[in-house]
Amino acid sequence: MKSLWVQVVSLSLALSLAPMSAQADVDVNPSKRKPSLRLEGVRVVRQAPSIDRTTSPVTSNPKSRNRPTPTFTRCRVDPENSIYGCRTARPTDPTDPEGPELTEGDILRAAREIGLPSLEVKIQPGEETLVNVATIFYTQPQPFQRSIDLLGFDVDLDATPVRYRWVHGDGTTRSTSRPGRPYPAMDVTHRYRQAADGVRARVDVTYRVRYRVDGGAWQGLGQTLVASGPVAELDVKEAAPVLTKP
Amino acid sequence: MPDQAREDTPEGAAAFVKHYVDVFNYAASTGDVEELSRLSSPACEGCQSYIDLYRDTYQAGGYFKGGDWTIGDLSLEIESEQTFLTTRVDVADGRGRSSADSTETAESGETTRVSFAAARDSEGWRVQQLGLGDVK
Repeated sequence: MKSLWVQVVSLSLALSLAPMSAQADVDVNPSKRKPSLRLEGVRVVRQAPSIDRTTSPVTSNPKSRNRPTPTFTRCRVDPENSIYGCRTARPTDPTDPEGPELTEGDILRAAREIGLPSLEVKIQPGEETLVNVATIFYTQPQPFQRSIDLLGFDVDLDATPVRYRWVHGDGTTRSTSRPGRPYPAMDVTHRYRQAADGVRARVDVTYRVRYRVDGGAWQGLGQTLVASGPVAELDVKEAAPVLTKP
Repeated sequence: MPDQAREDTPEGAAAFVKHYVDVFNYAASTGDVEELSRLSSPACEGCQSYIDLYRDTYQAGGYFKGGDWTIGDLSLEIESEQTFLTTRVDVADGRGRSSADSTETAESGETTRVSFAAARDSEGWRVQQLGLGDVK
């Protein structure tokens, strides 16, 4: 009841604050039955606060008893709106002898075959830098999403960079959780100690991958994937101080 | 309730949610929330929000016409104690009024994703959670 009044008050407030031109269109309102309004902020969570068992004890589900991992199923709703054609996948149980299977290994293999994007390392000041000067490294991560058909299932992949390993090319590396930024930011820098030509620098990015089967809930892949970036060559020069007359 | 909606199977869970939406639409068009309440856990915040809306609207002399929910294909994730079901919901355009004193207004619908969590007790399936979007 309280939430109803909150919504009514919110709706009234929104209407009263709306510009006059909008009030001219007040004939059509958003339906109060709309999930986007009524269920705003209400999400179904995997760990429910409590399962109500006040009326009678819960009986175990014979289909799910002793099932340590979730089972993913897709059911079609026919034009008469009776249910038919449920199709099941068990992403984490490759030994299950029943029916079609889709294992996490299949998804991992597919993600590897697709290839997650490698990132180009950007270096400032440019193709040349100086010994003992903070050289800036950064990269520009891109969101990666892909939908694939795998063993008859619709699988959505979503990969997020979570770790960047900067290979400076002088035998040193550094790992960060951020992709760095260009100058004037100095998020990721490195000071070369010796002059050298053709130093081969790159960034290896570690992706955390999640997936969902047939539009079901997102699941994290139990393993991260690394994409090694292309090499960028730079020359490290030694600067000699020179006094000049202005 | 259809026989299929009583089954302890993925098809049963899906048929139950389809039936739940039918009851949900019935409650919206009549204000009779008894069956909807029976099929909803008292702890289901999303369910109770709609039950309150339908009961209070009709008690105040209001009503809903049209605006029914229609569900699309269901994606199920079956765990030991609960089954999570996610689907597209088409909310039709409709009209209604919030009380006997208010004027009738047209209400625009929408298409969105909604998730349910259902669990079984000795009487069959019940909705434990109703929420917007995918399962978190």
